[in-house]
Amino acid sequence: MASANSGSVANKQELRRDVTVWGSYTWGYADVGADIYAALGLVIAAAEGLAPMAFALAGVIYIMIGLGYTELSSTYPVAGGGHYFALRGLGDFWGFVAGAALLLDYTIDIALFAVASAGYINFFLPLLFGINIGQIVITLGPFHGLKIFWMIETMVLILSLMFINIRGVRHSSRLNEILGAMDLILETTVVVLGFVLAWHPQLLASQWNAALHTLPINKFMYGSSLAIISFVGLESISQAAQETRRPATIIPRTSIALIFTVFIFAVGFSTVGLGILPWQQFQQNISDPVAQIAKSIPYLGFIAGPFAAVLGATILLISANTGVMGASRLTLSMSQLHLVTGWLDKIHPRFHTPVRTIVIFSMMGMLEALLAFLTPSAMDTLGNMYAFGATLGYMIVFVSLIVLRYRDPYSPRPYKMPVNVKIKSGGNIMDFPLLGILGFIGVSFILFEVIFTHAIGRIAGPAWIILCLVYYIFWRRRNKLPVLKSIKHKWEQEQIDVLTSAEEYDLVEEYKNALAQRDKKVKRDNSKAAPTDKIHDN
Amino acid sequence: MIIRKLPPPTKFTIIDKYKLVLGVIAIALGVVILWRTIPVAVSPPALMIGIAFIGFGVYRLWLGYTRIKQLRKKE
Repeated sequence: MASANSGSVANKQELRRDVTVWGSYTWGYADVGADIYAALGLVIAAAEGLAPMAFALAGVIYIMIGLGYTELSSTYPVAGGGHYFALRGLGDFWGFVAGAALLLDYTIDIALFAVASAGYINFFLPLLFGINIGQIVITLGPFHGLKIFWMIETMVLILSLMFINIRGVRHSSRLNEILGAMDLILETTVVVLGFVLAWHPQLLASQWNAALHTLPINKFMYGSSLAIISFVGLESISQAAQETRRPATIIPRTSIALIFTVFIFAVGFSTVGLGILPWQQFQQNISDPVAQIAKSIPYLGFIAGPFAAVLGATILLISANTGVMGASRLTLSMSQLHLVTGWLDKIHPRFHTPVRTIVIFSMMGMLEALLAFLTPSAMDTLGNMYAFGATLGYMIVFVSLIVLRYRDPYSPRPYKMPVNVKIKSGGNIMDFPLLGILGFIGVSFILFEVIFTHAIGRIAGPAWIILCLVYYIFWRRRNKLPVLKSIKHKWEQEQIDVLTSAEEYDLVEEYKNALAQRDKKVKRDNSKAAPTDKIHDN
Repeated sequence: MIIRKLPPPTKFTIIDKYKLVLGVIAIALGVVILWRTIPVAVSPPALMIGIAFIGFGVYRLWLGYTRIKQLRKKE
């Protein structure tokens, strides 16, 4: 079996540990918080009056995903996120599959949110130029209705984010922090004022009752599977783990705060929205649902347009930025773990950032956006592809969580997913995560919904995974590495290195003690077994 | 569910004040939602979101109270 150092951070140029509590929270919020701006209109258009239920259903599953991620990313605070957990629990092959699925999401994230952000910026163009040049269309060969100005804006935004990320995490994390704070305040304002000044519970109840009796089940399934995209982003906290100070202390707090904030906002926005406007209005204005809600608030309607446009543009831009950061860090981790070419495993000597991965995957995001603009609705096309990668990745992560409880009971877990049953396994007592099983079933159901109801997602998603697998098989064979089996990794030494670099010294001691006790027990068992063997030999 | 304890706070920061204000707003909002909903229609999403806001606000205030208690103990 081939052997390699599994990307020990100690032997390589490291990502800087610059991200603080607030930085970690806003890094995740920047990604998850923006999703509602894109998802709200799509979900209400599909699930109609039952949209709050669609959000709640997806949200409950997401809470379980979030708690699972919290456990894993505080136990293994490295930049890989889901793919790293899968690799540790299930081996190289599944680590790669999870990485490919999550990479699809990150590049779509870059494209989708840059497109959406440019759309909100275009709100101001009629004020500046007298006409909405963002809506100017041209014909390019067989492609009609190409929104050329909007497309150029999107490309400029992605290029700007690429530059910021090459310069270093301090700059982009600071950007996340400032914009994240602004958007938290603004979102709170819209929800609070919407409920107090404009909300009609009768309208909400009538739309709920109507949908309950008339909405076809497949439409609700489509809506609830789209609703999961409004919660995608906790992966970002895992991605930031390798750059977070004292991750074992910080990550559980920021993750749990993030999970509940986003859940409340998602259900809150859909509830307030359907109590202010009929669902058909969201269907007609699918690109700016939050602006529609804000515009309908009495007394504040005259400033609601610009307010919602600034809010949408900023938070969507930081979400696209999170995609750039996440994709680059994920591929960096994959290259360090010998899942993709080592050429990507290069950190800029001056900026300490993974410059090659940032450039490549920003370009990939640009390409996806470009292709999406060639379809009738860029937003719809990108949104349709978003859920597949996330749900597949999360399914593998849940399996990894359960397997790692069994295979690696020695790594200190600063946070454990609740609701466990103690079972005896190999002479040890382990906590079997019941909520992990429930989460796995929930995510599997959402993946089923995606495959069943998403016309583009069910083709483009698996096609991406197959394409990545072809590359993986080719690259591993070329480098004489096993394809289905795993490289021998030095996990124990790596865990010590990671915890030491994170300055989690008490956890290092706890881990070393657990390993020493295990070794002592193995020795004792061997010495007990030895005389018996002799008797059998005789 | 076990989370490692943070070191005791050294001062009452602006973030702590923000969290307390947010807690009060969330409780008030939850009450407003329930107060407006219950007399006119039994709407599950409205009831759910109202109760969620109250729960969120109470949790925030409890965190703030714990922090103030820790600070006083330290003084």
